[in-house]
Amino acid sequence: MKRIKHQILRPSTGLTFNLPIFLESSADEMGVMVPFDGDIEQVEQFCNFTYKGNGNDITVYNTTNTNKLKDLVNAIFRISWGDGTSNTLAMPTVYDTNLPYVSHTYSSSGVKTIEVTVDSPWRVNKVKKQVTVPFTGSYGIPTDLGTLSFTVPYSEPLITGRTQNYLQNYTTLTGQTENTNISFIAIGKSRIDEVRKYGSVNAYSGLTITSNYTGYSINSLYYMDYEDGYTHITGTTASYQNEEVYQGMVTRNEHLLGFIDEPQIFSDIFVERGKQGIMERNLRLGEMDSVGEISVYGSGYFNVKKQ
Amino acid sequence: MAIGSYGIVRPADVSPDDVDIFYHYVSGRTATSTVTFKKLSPASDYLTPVLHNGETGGTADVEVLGGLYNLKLAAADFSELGIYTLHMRPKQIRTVITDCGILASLPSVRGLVIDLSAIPSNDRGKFSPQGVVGYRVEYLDSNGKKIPNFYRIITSNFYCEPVISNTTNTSQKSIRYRYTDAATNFMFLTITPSAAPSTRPTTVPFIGQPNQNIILTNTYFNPTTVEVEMVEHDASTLAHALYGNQSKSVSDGVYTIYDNNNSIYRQYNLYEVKDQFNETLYEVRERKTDIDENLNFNVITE
Repeated sequence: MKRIKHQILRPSTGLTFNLPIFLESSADEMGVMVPFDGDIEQVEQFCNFTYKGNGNDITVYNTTNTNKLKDLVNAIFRISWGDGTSNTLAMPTVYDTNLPYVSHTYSSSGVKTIEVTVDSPWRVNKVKKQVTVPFTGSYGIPTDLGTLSFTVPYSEPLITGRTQNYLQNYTTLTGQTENTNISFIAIGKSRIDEVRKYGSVNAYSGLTITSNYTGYSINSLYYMDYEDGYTHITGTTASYQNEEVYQGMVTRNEHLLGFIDEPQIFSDIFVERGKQGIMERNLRLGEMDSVGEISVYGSGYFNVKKQ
Repeated sequence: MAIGSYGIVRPADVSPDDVDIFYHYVSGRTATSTVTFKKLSPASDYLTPVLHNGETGGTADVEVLGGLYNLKLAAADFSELGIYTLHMRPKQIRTVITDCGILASLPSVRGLVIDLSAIPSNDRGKFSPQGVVGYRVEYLDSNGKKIPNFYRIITSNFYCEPVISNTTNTSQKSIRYRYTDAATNFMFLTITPSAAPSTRPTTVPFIGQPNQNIILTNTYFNPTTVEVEMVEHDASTLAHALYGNQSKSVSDGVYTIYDNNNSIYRQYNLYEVKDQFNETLYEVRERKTDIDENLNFNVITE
């Protein structure tokens, strides 16, 4: 972090100063986006729980994922409430629809450590979570974010007090209704040979010859042939959806941070399958065009004895 | 891969609304000096971006030049002599982790679920899909202390919703989510690092836990500190005293120093006084507060 020092002469009367400063940022690559199925699951699948509370009452739900762990049978879940008492917690039978739960009322306030232990024939797991009782509020899913107030940045004079209904406006944005045009440039092949005017299809227009390139337009695309053999093709798309409104299920895989493109696998390994067919040698002979090819076929597939 | 020289520092075009400005004032460098420390809010009242004009290109008075900002030192806050330290850093947003989760098809990628209704309303608009990529996540412990030297970076964020099948019984809290196209109150943030190294797959980095308080900070610019020292004299005023025009009115003993415009900069009374007890004679130069305008340099030298 930079530290900049200025010296200002105090005026005899109160004055407001304007001090020019420079702010900088650093650019870095956050990696490529990778698609995924959109499902988000709990971190711990084998033994986990959630809870809901109100006052000194608490209800704990067993969230063990029986969809992924279908063989989790004969497991016993025990819950220790952190105040010396304990209960047995049932295992979910249908994941996501009916979570088994057990309730408890604390007789005293304070921080309590709730501990759920799963004892199965294969492994024993334990998960602890701390809660503070009494609960001042209960969990719930809000349905309305209300109105957002904001100031329009960089406006002069400053536009303040603008409001928008949060959900509705972003619903519009994420409904992919916000389109824009975007200009692009690509490297391609010259079509100067097609400048013959065969009707309207291959017609060109706007022929421009400069010291750097020869320019012309075909089908709303502008071509610039450079002397090094490359052709720049520029144009404008319509109804382009920019990244902000892209709603595909994507994320950034941190293993790809710093990369600018998805990994590609190049392989020149040839796998020779085993000799299993009784007619294989005869059939392979049909793949050769000359007798001399026998010795080089398949890097020595045929054992040629020279006499 | 090509190797080349390139710069990664760019002029910031951050909105002043995404900046926190802290004000620190001491009258002197001594340890006993009283410290005034406060936040200058809203930052947009103190920090304004410099815009293009007709000379610099770009859309005049609309397009941000980039990098260059005006920091306003209001008279109400900067009237005293002393050292003012202004610290500008990206704005912080405080919230709480609602839940932690993993991506079903990429189990090594973990992330945080936050409830947008717990975000201050002025900052809620930033939480659009991919809107907080690059933000830094810092963590507070249960005592409210910030965990030092520990942070994570948000790599993607999208709306998510608890799975529908779980809502038939509203008393149950969902433990599964799914990305949604439409806006919801929940947002899933993937962060880095969150995956265990391949050599030790059980050593999973800590990314926080439900109900933990976190601080989200944008990374739109690098924090900077500006020190402003409000002084009684600078080089130009000292030069008035050293090299400026001067006059001495002999009859009334008024000594006048002029600035480079020949305006009166200072006036002093010159006189002698003798101690009535030990007869010691003193020559005195005393600053004159009621300026004698008749001693204007141009008037007395014409």
